[in-house]
Amino acid sequence: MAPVVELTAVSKRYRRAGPLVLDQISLRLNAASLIQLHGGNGSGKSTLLRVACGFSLPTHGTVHRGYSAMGVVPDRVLPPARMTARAYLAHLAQLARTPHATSTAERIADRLRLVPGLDAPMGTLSRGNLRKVILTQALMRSVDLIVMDEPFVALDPAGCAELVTIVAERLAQGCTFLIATHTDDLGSMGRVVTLEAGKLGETTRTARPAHPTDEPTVAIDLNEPHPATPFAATSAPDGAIRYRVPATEVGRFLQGALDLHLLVIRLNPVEPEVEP
Amino acid sequence: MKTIAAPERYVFAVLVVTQRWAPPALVLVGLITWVWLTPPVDIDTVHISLVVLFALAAWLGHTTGDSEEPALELISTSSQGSATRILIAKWSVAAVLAVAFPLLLLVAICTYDSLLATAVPRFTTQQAVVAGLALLAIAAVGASLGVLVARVLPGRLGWAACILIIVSLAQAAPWMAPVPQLAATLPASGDPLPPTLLPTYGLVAIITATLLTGARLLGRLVK
Repeated sequence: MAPVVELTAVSKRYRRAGPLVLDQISLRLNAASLIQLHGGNGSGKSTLLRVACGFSLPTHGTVHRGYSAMGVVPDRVLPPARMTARAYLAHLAQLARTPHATSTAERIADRLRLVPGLDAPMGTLSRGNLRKVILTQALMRSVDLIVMDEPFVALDPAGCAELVTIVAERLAQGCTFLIATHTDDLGSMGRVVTLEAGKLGETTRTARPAHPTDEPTVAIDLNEPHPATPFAATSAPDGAIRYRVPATEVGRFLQGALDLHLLVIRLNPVEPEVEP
Repeated sequence: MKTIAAPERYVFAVLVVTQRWAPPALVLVGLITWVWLTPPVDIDTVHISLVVLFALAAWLGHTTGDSEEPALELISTSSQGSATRILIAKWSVAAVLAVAFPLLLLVAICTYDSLLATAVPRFTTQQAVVAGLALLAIAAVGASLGVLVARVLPGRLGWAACILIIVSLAQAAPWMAPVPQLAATLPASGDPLPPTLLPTYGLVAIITATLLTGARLLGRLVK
């Protein structure tokens, strides 16, 4: 399968004698996959995102891009203060030749709970609400790749949870995500890649243990496999798909399942196993 | 048509709501009005206008090129799918804004003279056409210089102003391009069109294309 983005031995320095911001990075993003890019401040996450989507040229190495349309959520954005969110999103929809995307934008803004609505001038929005507008513009169109830089910063907990759900839905629909984040809001979704001082570090399948030993689990039976969850599925005796989900993750898991129109057959049908 | 012009409409909307257009546009209107209200109004007025318009088109080009902060530009570029298209939109909006007012004055004067059947019209038809073309050309090349400087020196207003002022003042030198060459193509009343007309416009097109290509390529290197 052709990758959506593939970086091969990519290095980047901003000045001729400056330090290497990226050092021999090789990374492959397949379709319908998610990579969480973790790393400290100044580790090169934002630069890697810009190089990956072609906004910045690598000093060395090659970048292959196999997507036709993409959405971007930059870290800090200063949109025109006196323009309303609705006008801004309408302009972007026109730019993308998808004028119908404005109705999708309304739905996404509602789901993210953009409190003053889309008719507020962007200069009057709080940092969190402005973030929701920027997220909406990336999510309102049907694209192959979405690149997000610290998408959870300034979002309220409800907004964070809803964003995770939307990401899971898009992932299930075949969209590819490259997300730089300090937080673990995405949990163990996708693959976690660590960037340290411009070098790729550890790559893990999950960000944290799916089943912390001291946390009770809840068994949830669904009619179909959940396409966007890190938890392993087993078969229930009646053919349902059974997941054992840590108690703290149950709300998010169920929300994701319902948003994907999966049928929840049973909740906690058996006693949760207590791990030794 | 609506979709084709979407980048231009977006760039114009951002320029308007940020009010970044106001200083260069108001200075342009003021200076051009002063030049065109100072008699005698003839082909030399167009010559002076070319000098003034080059500098102001460059200022407008810089303002338009710099109207989006870098993160905002990432969003518009990803939505449009082409950084080149957004660049062309910024350049074309700046050039049209720069040339609109002087061109309007030229058309108004020619219309006034023809309607009133003035004994000695201020411009012959040939002069008016060449003057209009020269104004268009100088707005295009000036705007492309401004866009280039905005892309190469993002957020460095001081350096950008120095470069634009120096290049604009240098247009007084006869060996400099493009103002002296374009001014040389303006025919005196009754004179035939100069043979250098086409080569000069070719040169202006090459300069404009080179500046815009530089803006596209160098812009990605400095980011």
